[in-house]
Amino acid sequence: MALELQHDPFKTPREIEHPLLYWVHKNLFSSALNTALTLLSLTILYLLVTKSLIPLFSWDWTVISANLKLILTGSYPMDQLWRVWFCLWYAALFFGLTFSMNRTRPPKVMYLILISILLLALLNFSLFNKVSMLATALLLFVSFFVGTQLAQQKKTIMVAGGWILLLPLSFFIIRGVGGFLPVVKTNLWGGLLLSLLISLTSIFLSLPIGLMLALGRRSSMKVVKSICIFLIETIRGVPLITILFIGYLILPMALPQGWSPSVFIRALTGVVMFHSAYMAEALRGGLQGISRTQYEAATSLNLGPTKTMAFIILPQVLKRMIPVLVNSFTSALKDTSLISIIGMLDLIGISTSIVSNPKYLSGSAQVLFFEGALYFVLCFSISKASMVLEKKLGVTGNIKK
Amino acid sequence: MHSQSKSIPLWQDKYKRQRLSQFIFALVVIILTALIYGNIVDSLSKIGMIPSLKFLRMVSNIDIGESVIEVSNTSSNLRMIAAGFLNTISISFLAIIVSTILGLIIALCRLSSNWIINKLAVLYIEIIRNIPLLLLLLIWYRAFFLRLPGIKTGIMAGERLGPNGETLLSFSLSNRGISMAWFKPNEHFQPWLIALVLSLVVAIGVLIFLKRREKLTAKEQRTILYPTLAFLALAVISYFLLPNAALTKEIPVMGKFNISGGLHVTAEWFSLFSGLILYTSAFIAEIFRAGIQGIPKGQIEAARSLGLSHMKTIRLVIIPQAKVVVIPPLTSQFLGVAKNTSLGVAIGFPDLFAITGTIINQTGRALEMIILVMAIYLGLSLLTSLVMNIYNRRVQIKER
Repeated sequence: MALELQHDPFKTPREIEHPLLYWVHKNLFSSALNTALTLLSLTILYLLVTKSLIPLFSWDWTVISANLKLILTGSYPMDQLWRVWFCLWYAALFFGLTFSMNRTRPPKVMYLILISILLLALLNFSLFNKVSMLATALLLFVSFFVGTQLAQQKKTIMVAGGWILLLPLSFFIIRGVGGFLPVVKTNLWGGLLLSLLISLTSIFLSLPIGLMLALGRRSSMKVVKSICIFLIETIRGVPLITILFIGYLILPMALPQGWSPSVFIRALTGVVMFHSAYMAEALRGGLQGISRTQYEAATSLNLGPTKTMAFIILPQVLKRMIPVLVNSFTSALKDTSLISIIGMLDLIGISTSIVSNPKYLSGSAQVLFFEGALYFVLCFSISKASMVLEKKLGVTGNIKK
Repeated sequence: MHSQSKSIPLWQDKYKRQRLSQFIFALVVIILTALIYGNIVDSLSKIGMIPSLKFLRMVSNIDIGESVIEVSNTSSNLRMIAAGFLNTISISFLAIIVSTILGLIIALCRLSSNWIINKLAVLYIEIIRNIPLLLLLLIWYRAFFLRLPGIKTGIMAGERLGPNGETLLSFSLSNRGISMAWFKPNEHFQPWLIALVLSLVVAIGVLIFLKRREKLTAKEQRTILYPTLAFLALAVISYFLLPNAALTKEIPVMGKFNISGGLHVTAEWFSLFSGLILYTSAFIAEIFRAGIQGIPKGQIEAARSLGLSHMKTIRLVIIPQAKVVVIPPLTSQFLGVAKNTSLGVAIGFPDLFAITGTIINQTGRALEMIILVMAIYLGLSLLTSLVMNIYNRRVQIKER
């Protein structure tokens, strides 16, 4: 007869009798110091909630609801808003598919997104926007469940292709092309839309440029190497705002006469230059993580240096870099806030222009807090998603320990 | 050998191919640089300008709210840049010290076994790390300081009437900033300054003596505590021994439009400073936590089984090992603080970058000013990483 234990042998009798009390004692009041710390932090928490959190509800938040469209999309024409929604739906579709890789149940992040969308839908949007919002959430979950039914191989290709197409497609739709879709000039873009577009583009463009810089830095050719080191270290050694000023003030001068890039292009150039240098360093780290045996194996298969890089090394590096890339999107999103200093109406810049309206003069704190919440939800969920990806992709095989 | 190397065609000789491609690459870079420079000179000459540094000697016409050195709007542009540079240096130096201490405290809270303290630290770190620094600065400046009442109606403490009928204050908080009573050096300051230097010399002597004894006896000496104590004791004793007090207490006086005297911290300075320390401390806390958690559990268990106390385990086992891991990321955080000071431009703090922007606006010398400012920041970065590298080499665990 097998011996059957009624209780977990690793638990003390007190723990079994009063699990809650035991937990409270162990985690909050285990010693005199701990008790004092608990009481202190409870006081701080009490003061925080009563003195700052509760008064927030009594504030006048009409400045947000009246300017919601401005905060989210800037001066983008009202009747063309469906184009922004279309891009969001597309993104939601591939978000769902990406999450469905290697799993059958939705991860917590998806519920977080769902809840934020539902909360946002409570604000006073027009019916069309509310429906579009719910459609986004619906698409996310539908594509997830469809994704779970698809074959793994097919899905991988779809997801990769979808993400690569996302940015060009969004630009095409949001900017429009003469004759096909009415053109919406970049100076009308603003708010969250502009912040997201600039940071997404900067990641997409800084990846190839950073890759070239990283390969150049590892090159055995001295001239190439020193030029790459000079570029990377100069950009990393100065604040982003100086690089933005180069794009803003020097770029129009440096280009041939008659080319006058829009402020959007100038800001984008600065942001891309900055992120390329950081991306190069991240990629260099990734390249260093590949074991030498990989190069040796490729050589013994008679692959030249170019083919080794393209077919053996880079696929491994890029796969490893996906979580890093996703994470660097959050820092890009945060850094992009600086373009407001050179006068762009991004999420931060738009707040200045809203409160310069005498009607909303006293609303600056509300606008800033709302934008802070937006930044937090976005960056937090993206960094959580990158953690999920990191766990899923794992660091498998061939990686130098 | 000779004949063989000749028979290799050019495109198959790896060595020659590399030299050729390097040459082409260098050529392309040189041509591109020349093109860009030519374009810049062209567009500058269209508006009647040639790149030169003469404008640095011209009168700046800039008024700045605060400065470490004496400046006025008749000072030269160069002196203005120096003032901005010193503002950047002083605020980043203070912010680095304070945020390191704050970061250490938060890291300890984060590692605490106390559930509620732990969760509060997590909340702090997660919120701060997911918000742009610029937003934090704007919240401090626009949502806190600019919403405060003016100096006449601001928050005050210790109001009283002075001997000449003026209003004296101990503390004041308004939309202009913070004012409080402060000790300031007076005309009898010089003798005490000499005494301070002498006490520093003595303290260094004590340090050297203790270090030498540590080497001789192989026993741990208190190399931080005793020199510090020696310095403080000598400084205090000399202050009271000197016939005239070297510092006078200055009390802020409420004027018609502003508060004069005492220590005045402007709203811009305080917003930038508190934004910087809040932001940086969250990142530094994570660096410390990673450093401490990275130590294998076996090390701590081994220390315990050797009979080391809790404090000694921390001092002799955890800190020396964590130090090595922590320093490189900490260096980049410190550099980040110096660079992030440039965000002060958004709230009107006259740092190096803000003054650069103003000079560019007034003189149109964008190219020269941007190159100058980049050179200064690069120099600063190189200097910091040099110092930290030297320190890093000293604490690195020596392996044979």
